[in-house]
Order: sequence, then structure tokens, then C-alpha cells
Amino acid sequence: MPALAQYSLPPTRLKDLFQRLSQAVDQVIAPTRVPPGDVFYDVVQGPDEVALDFGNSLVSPVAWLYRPVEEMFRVLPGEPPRVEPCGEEGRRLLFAVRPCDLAAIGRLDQFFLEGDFRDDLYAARRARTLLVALACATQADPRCFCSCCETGPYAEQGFDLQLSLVGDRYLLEVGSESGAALAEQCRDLLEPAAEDLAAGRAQQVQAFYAGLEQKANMPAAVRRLSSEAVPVELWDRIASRCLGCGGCSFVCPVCTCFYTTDQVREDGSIVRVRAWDSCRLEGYTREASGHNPRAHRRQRAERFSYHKLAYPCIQREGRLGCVGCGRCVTVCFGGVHMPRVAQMIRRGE
Amino acid sequence: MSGLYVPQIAAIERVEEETATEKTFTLRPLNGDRLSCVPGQFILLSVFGRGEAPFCVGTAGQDLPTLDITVRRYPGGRVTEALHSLGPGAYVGLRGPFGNGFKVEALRGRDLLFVAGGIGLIPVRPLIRQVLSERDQFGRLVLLFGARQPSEILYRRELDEWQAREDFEVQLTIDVPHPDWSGHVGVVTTLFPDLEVDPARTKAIIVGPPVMYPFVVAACREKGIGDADMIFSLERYMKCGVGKCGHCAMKHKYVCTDGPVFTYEEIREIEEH
Repeated sequence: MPALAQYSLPPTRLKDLFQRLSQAVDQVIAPTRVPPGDVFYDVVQGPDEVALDFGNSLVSPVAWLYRPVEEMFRVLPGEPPRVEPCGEEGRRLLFAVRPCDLAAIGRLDQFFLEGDFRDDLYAARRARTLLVALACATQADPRCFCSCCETGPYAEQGFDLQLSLVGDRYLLEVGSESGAALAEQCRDLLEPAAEDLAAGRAQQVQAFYAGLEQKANMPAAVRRLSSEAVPVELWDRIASRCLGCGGCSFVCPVCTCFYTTDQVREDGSIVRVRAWDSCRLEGYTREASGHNPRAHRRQRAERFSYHKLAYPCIQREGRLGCVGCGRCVTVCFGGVHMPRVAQMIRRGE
Repeated sequence: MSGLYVPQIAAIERVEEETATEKTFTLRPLNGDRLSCVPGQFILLSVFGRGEAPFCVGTAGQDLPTLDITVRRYPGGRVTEALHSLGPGAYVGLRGPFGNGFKVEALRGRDLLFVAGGIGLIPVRPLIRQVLSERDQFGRLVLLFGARQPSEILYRRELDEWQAREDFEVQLTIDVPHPDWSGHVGVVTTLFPDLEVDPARTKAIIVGPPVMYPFVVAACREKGIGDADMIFSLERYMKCGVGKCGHCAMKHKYVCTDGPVFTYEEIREIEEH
């Protein structure tokens, strides 16, 4: 889908743009540098707190749409007990979302919002959130592999606004009606986009891809895994290097699993909370009887890969379960992250 | 308030002790909501402060004022232990019913072979009740039920009623000899050799502990029953019941929304190593 409109923005006006966007919402979430220098997406008060000189954050901004821990409802004890909703939040803007994370949000949208059951917790937060993407075209993080997942270095859709640095200008693209309304409020900061801006961005792509160190032939891995041609020993080999820490799924912006637990608060009320869970953890499928259909790490390694890469899952959930963000490359102690596993699957060894 | 994960409040109306470890709870939604249930469906039950867990529903029908669940207490099971400590008048949370349930239409006109092990009888019972209520719609009916020991046999009175019927062949077995037991001894598949079935007419409905399944599949195949005619109700750990939490996924299917009832033909496709 082509952008609804395109503008040009001199980098000197980026802070003004940020200020103007901030006024349209109650809260802005943006990448910010935290000692000793890691970048996290967090609530920021002004443009000086925003860090744009980063490859990718360790935690995806998806965490602001699908919260790592969130209250589902509250029960007030009594005869009978009463059930109450938990707090609402205001309008939010996620600023400088990388295109890979935007692709992940696309999959989350389909997973949580489509089909027979609509996740109203995700839906409410999603409906209140505006997305401003920041293309990666000039900054390749060596751990990323969006080139293999067709998710970068810039987004074709899924954003309200997208910023791409091309030479000495930002290309600002409008991707939705809400984005058009935002751009309208910033109209005096924007200039008409010269025709060569988009063309200039396209020319950056090959140089950007050359800066990526991870290579994952996803279509080949998908074909092989889907045809059930992967020997069981391969999962044993992956499992022998997997610590079972669940780190890959906790940083993965596509992973959606959760568990729920009841917390009894000091005032006697009970809050049901959901928190991210991981199919890599031993207790994930363990039943009260002690029976565990996925008791072996090998089985859990296969489950994780199958859900992300196998064709029946792709068909069901709308897209590949990996967006090439490279976070699992950062966290996996055993080096059995997605690009390595995809390569092992492709080779069958 | 409503919401995908928000339970309605229900009162426990009645508690019946089935065995030393299983009780049947009758639940009535507080707001007077009527419930519709297909045999084989399940609910998510909350004991507030302890958590929520899935249990198959023991009642079936339209416009029901109450529903029953039979629950085994597991030591260390947060929800089952707490539920077993509750009596009539206590309040719990209720979501559902969820899941596909048994397709009764597909069973009409066929011989039905029910194979249940232990608490596997719980989801099978509402199906048997429905079948018996329309007895002339079905061919021959056989139930093979195995328990570990006599004291673990559920629904004794109802089993006696079924055994007394001439149009329902009911065979019970226990795993190992017991002084209180004069009937057949051996796991449920030891009832198969003397069983005669017409494989072209038969649908097998099989529910029990996972360890039972490969043996029953082999026994059914030996009788000539096809994989598409073997019907299972699967159980998996679940947190949501609506295909979101991920726990019950098998390959690209979710036991909660695509199941819990699957034919063996379908299971073969999603079976994991």
C-alpha cells in the first residue's frame, strides 16, 4: 500500500515535530537511553530524552501494546463477590518503532483481534495507540536479519506515520487517517517531499543489507520444516545447546503466550494478572497430575520453531512468526537463535 | 462487566462425593443466565485467589439453569484443592462452555464403542446420556470402562443402571486384582479380544489417561476400525480456553478452540514427537 501522503522534514525540526505529536496524546513512549547505555522504550517527557542513534532495543516496543504483566480484572470479596474492570489508560503514541516491530504488531493484531475470540485487553490498548515508525535505512544492527523476513529496513504499511532519514532530510510518510490528522497538526513544519526522497531511500537498501551479519534462508527453512523432513536428532542438537531460559520468547516481539495468576491484595481484593509465558519452559505444558506432554527440551525446541516457521502456522496466523529483529541473537547463551536454527533446519543437520 | 477473560459469578448449589478424590459440583450462574452445552465441551472455573482451570462439563443440553462438573482433587493442584474445600453456597467464577464437543450428528445410525479410562468417563457420560435419550437413533452401544481399583469407579449408580439395560453392553474392569472385586481384571484393552465389532458401522469414542491411547488405538485398528472413526477428547494445560494463551497448542491447532474432540486421523497430523 503506498503512503497516503509524503512530506520532507529537515532534521533540525525533528524536536519540534516530536513536541507537536506529543500534544496530540496523553503519553509518548519513545526509545531512551538508560545507564550504562542500553536503549529501552519508555515514557518520555520531552524530545531531549529520546535516543535515535541505536540499532534495536533489547525489549520490543510491542511490550507497550501487549504488556509483560497486566491486570485483567479485579474481584471484590463479598456475598456475592463483585467483578470490576482494571484501570484504563489514555491515548498513547509509540515513537520511533522499528519496521520489524511494526511487522510484529501486524501479526499481533491478527492474532488478538481477528477470529472467533477478540482479546479485548489488547484491543483497547491498540485502539488508543498511534504508531510512528522510524526506518532503519542508515543504521544496520549486525544482529538483525530483516532482509530474510521481508520486514525492513522500512515499512510499507502498518504505521500512522513513518520517518526515514534519507541524506540530509527526513521523509515523512502518512500511512493512515489518524496519521493524516497528526501530519495536519504539524503542517507548518513540513515541506513537500521532493520526488527523489523515496528513490533515495530505495537506493540505501542494498548497502543496508550488506551491513547485516546474520543470514537466514527462511523460505527454505519453512519448506523443510513444513514437509516434516527434519530429523528428530536435529532437535536434540538444538536442545543440547538450549539452557531452557525462555529468553528468546521473552524478547521475541511475535511471541504471545501468557499464563494467569491470582494476586490477593492487602485490601482483600483479588486481581487476576496475566504475564508473558514461554513454551521453552518446562512447566509450560505440565498438568496438575504431573503429566507433561512436552517434558523434553527437544520437544520444546521443536514447538518453538514449528510455531514460528511451519507453513500451517503461517497460514493460520497470517505471516512468518519471525520478523528478523535479531533480539534472540542477543540473548541466546547457547547460540541457538533463530537465524542459526533456520540454517540448521534448512541443512537438516 | 464483560470481557473475554472475565468470568461470571456462579454459586455452588450442590456437592456430591463420587469417590475419595472426585466430587461433582453443580453450578448456578448468579445472574440467572441459561447455559447451552454440547457433550465434550469444557468450562474455565475460577476459585478466586487461587486461579482458573479447565474442567469438562458433565451436563448437556439447551437452556440449562445449572451445569455439573466432576473434579479430581490433585495434591498441589491449586484450583482443585481449593474447589474441593468449598461447599454449597460458595461462589466461584465461570467462563464458557468452550470447545467443539462431540459431533452427535455424525454418530447417528452408527454402532458406538465407548472406551473410557478413569476420569475419562467424565466427558463421555453426557454423550452417553444424550445417546440413551435418543436410543433408537443409534445402533449397538458398548462401553468398556477401566479404573485402577474399585474405589475409583465413578458414577457407580449410573453405571449400574446402564448395566441393567438390555440395549447397552457395559463392561467394567480394574487394573489389578482387589478383594472387593469379582469382575474382570486387567487394563481396558484386555476387554478387546472377546469383543466383536462391525468395523464399517462402528465409531469408537475414546477418553482416558494419555498412557492408554496408543494401546487403544492399536486395539481398535486390529478390529478394523478406521482412524477417522476413532474419536478422542484431548486434555492439555490451558489458561484461557479461547486460543490466546498458547498452552494447549499442538502444531497449528489449539485443543481449546479446534478441539478438545478430534478424530485420530486429525490427531495424527498434529501429534508431536
